[in-house]
Amino acid sequence: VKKITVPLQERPEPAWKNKVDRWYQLDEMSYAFCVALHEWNYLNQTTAPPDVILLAIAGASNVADQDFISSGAQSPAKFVYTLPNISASVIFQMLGFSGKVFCFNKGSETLKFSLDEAATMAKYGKKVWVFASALSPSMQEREIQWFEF
Amino acid sequence: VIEDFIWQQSAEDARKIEDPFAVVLNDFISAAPELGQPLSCNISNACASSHVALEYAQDLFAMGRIDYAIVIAADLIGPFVYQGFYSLKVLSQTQNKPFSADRDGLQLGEAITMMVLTKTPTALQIAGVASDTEGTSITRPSMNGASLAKTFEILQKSVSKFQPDLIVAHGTGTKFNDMAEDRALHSFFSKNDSLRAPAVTNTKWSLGHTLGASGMIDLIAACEILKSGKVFPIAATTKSDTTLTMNYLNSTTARDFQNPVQQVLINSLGFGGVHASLLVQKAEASL
Repeated sequence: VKKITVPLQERPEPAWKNKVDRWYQLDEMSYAFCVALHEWNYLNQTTAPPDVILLAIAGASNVADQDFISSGAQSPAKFVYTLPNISASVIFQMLGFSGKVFCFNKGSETLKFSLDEAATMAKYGKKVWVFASALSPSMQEREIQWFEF
Repeated sequence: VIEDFIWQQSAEDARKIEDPFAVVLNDFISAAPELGQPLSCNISNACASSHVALEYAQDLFAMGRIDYAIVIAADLIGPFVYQGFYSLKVLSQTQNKPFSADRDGLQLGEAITMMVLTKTPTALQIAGVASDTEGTSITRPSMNGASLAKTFEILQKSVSKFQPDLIVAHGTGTKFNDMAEDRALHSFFSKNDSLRAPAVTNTKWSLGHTLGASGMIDLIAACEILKSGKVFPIAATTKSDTTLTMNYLNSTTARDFQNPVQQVLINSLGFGGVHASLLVQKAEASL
């Protein structure tokens, strides 16, 4: 289990800039995933990739939705982030492989549901990673969690 | 309407709004008390959501955790979605013409679909579903089609008999996506000597791109083809694109299409690099 709170006030040119297409346009959730994966040394992949990644995004894309509307709904760079699964692409850009992703949403129960599902899948022999991003009440930071089953 | 809900809530703090899709799911289950308290969740994998939800159901069946599944797929076109696609400059100025040489973009459609699945199907069955998310671009599939081709390979390995007679292509009608899908199909079928390349049809020219519901729309259309034996063309497509390699059915070639259809491959692609494919067949085709 890994957990990090990523500050969002400033976004200096990151060390991982060459890994992600147009890093400077990332929404706060995708940006926070990149920072987290860099901090976690890209999860030190010494073993095989997981069979499935579960994305547990309780707040869905509500913040990106609002950001798009606030921009006058004319910005394609903001529109592309108005889907909860979009950060999966960024996660795979950082990790350097592709795979199967279930992007779950169940409101306030999203994380619990995803962890329960991951635990059950693991009982059936599946290697599962859960990436979760809790919606912070502040736009100053974003929490990222990672679980391995 | 979720789209309008999102639009109207824009003045509020998005960090305090409960996700409207979760509210809709809870309302649906509450309105159907006979369902009890089923395992339930929203699956949001962009335009491939239908396929991914079916893949999740497939996994639940395989683990023996469920006997039935209700899969509901819906998308509605409000100002939010329309403005978004408009900003991407992918909306057709004429008509949706997937795989046509003069294709110039997609048309949006809206739909709600529901399907009940059982672990013991008798007439038609989903032989397999596979998805792959690639880490390249957020909106564009990679031009070599590797991720979509990977889903074909997963399906080929996971089903007892992989020989689709027909493909219902994702085919949004944009230059780039149609070309990437064509390359994925060509790269897979051209290196499999034991497979004949199936003919390709599509629904979006008629119904528009129904986004997250489009995979279920295509599955329902494929089921009708399997039941009726009648294949429909991509009727809006009249100019062959000579840079594409697959056999895309037009009004004439569809009329002449005589092959019995036992198995249909259905593709679905979405933002975030998600690619998915599904194989549906007559139940006896697996024997």
